[in-house]
Amino acid sequence: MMTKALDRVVDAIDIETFLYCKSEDEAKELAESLANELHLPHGDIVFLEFKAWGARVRIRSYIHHPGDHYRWMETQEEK
Amino acid sequence: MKTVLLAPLDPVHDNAIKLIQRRLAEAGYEAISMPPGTTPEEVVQKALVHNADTILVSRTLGYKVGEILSQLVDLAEAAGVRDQTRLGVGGMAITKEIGTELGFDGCFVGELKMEEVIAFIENRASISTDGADSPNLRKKPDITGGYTYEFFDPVIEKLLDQISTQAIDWVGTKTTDGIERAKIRTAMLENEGSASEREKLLEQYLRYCDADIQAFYRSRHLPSGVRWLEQSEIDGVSNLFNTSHENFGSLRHVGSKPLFFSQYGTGCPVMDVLHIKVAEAWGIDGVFHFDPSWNAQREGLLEGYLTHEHDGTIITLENLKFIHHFLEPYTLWNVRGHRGLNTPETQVLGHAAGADLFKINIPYGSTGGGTDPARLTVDGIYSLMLASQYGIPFDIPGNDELSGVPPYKTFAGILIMMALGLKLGARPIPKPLLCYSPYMTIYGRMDDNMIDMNLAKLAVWRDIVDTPLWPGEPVGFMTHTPDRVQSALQTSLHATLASTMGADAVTIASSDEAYSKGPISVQARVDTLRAVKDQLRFQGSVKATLSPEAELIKEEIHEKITETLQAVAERGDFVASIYEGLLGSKEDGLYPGRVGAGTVRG
Amino acid sequence: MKTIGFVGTAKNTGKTTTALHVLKLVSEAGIVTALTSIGYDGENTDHITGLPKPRYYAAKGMLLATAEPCLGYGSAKLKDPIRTGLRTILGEIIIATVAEPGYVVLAGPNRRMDIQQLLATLESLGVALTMVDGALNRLAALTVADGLVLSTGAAYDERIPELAAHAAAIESLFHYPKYSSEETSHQVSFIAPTGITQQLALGSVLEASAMQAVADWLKSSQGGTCLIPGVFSPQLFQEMLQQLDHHLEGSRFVFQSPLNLLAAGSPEIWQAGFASLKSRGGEVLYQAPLPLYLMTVNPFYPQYLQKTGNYTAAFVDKVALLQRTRQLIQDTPVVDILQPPLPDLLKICEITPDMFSDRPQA
Repeated sequence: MMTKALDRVVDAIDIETFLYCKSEDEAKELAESLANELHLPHGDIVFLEFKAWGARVRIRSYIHHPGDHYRWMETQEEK
Repeated sequence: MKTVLLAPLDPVHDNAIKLIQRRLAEAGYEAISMPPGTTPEEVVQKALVHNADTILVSRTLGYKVGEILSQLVDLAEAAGVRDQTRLGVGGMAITKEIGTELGFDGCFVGELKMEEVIAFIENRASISTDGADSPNLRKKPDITGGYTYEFFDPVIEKLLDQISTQAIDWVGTKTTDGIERAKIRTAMLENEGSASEREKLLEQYLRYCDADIQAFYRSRHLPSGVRWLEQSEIDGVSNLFNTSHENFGSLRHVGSKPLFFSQYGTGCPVMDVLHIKVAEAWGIDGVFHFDPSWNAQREGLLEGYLTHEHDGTIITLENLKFIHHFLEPYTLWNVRGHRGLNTPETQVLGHAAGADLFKINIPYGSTGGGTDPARLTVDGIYSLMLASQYGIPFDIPGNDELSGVPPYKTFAGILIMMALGLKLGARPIPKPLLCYSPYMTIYGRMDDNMIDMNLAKLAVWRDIVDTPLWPGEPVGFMTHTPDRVQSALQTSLHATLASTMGADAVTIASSDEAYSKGPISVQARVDTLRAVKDQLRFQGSVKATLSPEAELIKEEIHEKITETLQAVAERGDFVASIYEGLLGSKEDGLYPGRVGAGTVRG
Repeated sequence: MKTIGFVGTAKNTGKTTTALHVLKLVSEAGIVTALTSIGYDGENTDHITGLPKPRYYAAKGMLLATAEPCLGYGSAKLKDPIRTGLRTILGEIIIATVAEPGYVVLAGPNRRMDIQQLLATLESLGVALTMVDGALNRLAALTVADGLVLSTGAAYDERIPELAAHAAAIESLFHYPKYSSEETSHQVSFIAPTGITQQLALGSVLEASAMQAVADWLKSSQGGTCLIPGVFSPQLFQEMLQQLDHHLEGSRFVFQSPLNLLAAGSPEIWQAGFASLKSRGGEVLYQAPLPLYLMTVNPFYPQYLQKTGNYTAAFVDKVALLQRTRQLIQDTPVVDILQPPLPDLLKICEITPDMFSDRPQA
């Protein structure tokens, strides 16, 4: 069940972070798992740059897609 | 001559293809490019007609992109093209696994490298241009190399001579507990092998220490919040970095200057090492150690592998050696000791651990840095002698501007430090601060733009003395907000502005510069490094010229530096000049420091 | 040695599940089996939907041919590596034997000529059966196989009538007979009844001028045999048929294999085109026909849920799907692997008792 604050996310949440890892493959695996571990909808890797021992990543999780019924509209209407 | 067919399957994006075509033609290949939105059938037809040796396909990710690419591969196979033609793919988010699933013979991941493309066409392994014998292998540069320190302004030169002579004479044979500890620490380092000698020297050392430092050595009582690093943690750090890696490129697009520095000091040496290693991987040239303020406010330094969560990492020989051990061979390392009660000893330990640079600024350290002016003058001059003895350059930060001091007073103070250092045989590096200081905001000096003032602040040095220039600390101070993009942008703008003026080095912030509720994050470091790199690419070899307004500002600063130095020279007492605000007054927002007041002897 | 290719019409249609089922049967039968892939099979979850994917689990004694870095990726312990000299993006293809069972990551050669070379090597090592995992949308490389198993399902199209019709269109392409002549060509050729031969410069018809040339040959002759060693665009084929209304009596079109047709385009267009051709007295033949042993249908499809923004497993009516597909496809067995009873799949795949070994592999 979504929390109220999550309903107000217009479209996406981006996770900006740096992951310690030893390969780009490992970086991708970790990045893909991260949204899941945070109980966010399926995360997509927007950006990943791996150098030597870590990766700078941006992982995106869409809360609302175009064409969805937007919960942030519904909460406004309820008011 | 091999024929290479270049096929952009995107409906619009074909810039990579055009670039490759030009470079391949230059390399002697027959490079045939197709228009954007080419279909797989058109590609295969063209390949059959021209007997292509290689087909290079580009396609950014989009709807059904996997299907289109695999259709091309399948069609090529069915048409018999694959028997003699190699298929390569590149584009955003193409990975080796995706390339394999789609059936290509090669894929180009990330930034385009022509050497890889040609190796693929020739069906040989790509030879890195950054191998161990590569001329591109980075070496540790000497920032002061090639500079004569010749003064072009005889008036300023004479004033500085007068001021520095008086200051050195005043110091004479004066001493402090800080100097005595530095001497004892030097002896301890020379007698490391002898436990009895160490015990004897330690007893002497403790006589010059505050009570809580004594308590640490006698009963291992640690300050609040500090703990020992465990041996397993110390040993474990090696495992983090035990993989070989490609040579890390620098941030520079052209030339060998400026060098880029950032500071570290999370409080934990282990975390610091990770931050430093990441910064190195992303292109930093040097780092400097930031210690906690309480570290500088006690007489005496601790020892051992110590960690805590605080604004700065505790200075101990063990912590410094630990951090130094993991630096890349070309990374410059500065251990700062420009304020507080441990300046001379910090230089001793820094040198023992392998420091390349010291940081010393008496006027700034004894006002904004909070240390008593008399104390820091004695300690500072001793530290300059150490710098000379060790052959280590010292940099002079101008962060007193942050209190509200106008740049000409800060620069006067920096020039005095330069003169002192040169007189004692050391090599100084002035660090004008590129910032949006209180002086700038109150007096509207940057209301129109932030370029003229900053360029003037850099240009004035070239008129005064032949010296390296290292804007810091960091550049863009007080322009940053917690917004990551804005912060990285301001850093990159200021850093590259300094680069257009031929700066020898620049200190840059992370994009967490304006975030004060926790330590700097490692991603924030990467963000500004990437921003600076891109901006350097943007400007290339372009150099700045001063506008008429900037020229006027430069002249004004130059005149007022002279006036400030005249006032200090007339006062005839360097220490008193600091107390009395000649190099930054209460009106400017600067107060003389009090830590260590009354501790000078002799 | 027998080679069977496992292909799917889309992702998540049950290709790997089907292959795993057959793998289990051959393992129980003690057949010396090798595994490889023309793509990359290794993820635990689908990178679009996030739903779990079945993984190849190899029994002791099986051989696998995969890219060198992938040897260490799965949980199976491998031994006796043999270098093949075949290279892919991920590295050299290594043949290794499973010492202890476990999951494996398959990334084998993707070009037909490389697969052919690999199969020859595997045969020389005493392998009785090689199972080749397919890759999205790629079939042409599998002409080296002895037969195919094709999986389709709701992940291709959730609408049962359209899904079944598509499956039937594919299946229909596998029944044309072999071209009896030894005559081959690297170029598109036309052999008139008079014996006169004409040729195009290339081996494929992918543009209008080439199609027109073929049409003109047929117009100027009564019947004749057209050899297409490469590919023919199905859209151009249809256009050509429209031009040749009365000139198709006695005409023969010899394609390389059904996989060349599928690589070129939509099976529905081919099915309609060949029906039209047949009704006007023409024929379709193959240089190298390839048996379609088995089709499987999978009611599963990943359903996107707006409320959560996640994908979840969803299913169409599995009974209706199987029934409808079997109604349209009479000549090839159609099964749902998860709807027993299943026929003897080893027999269907022409895996004969002489291939069984004395020593069990499990």
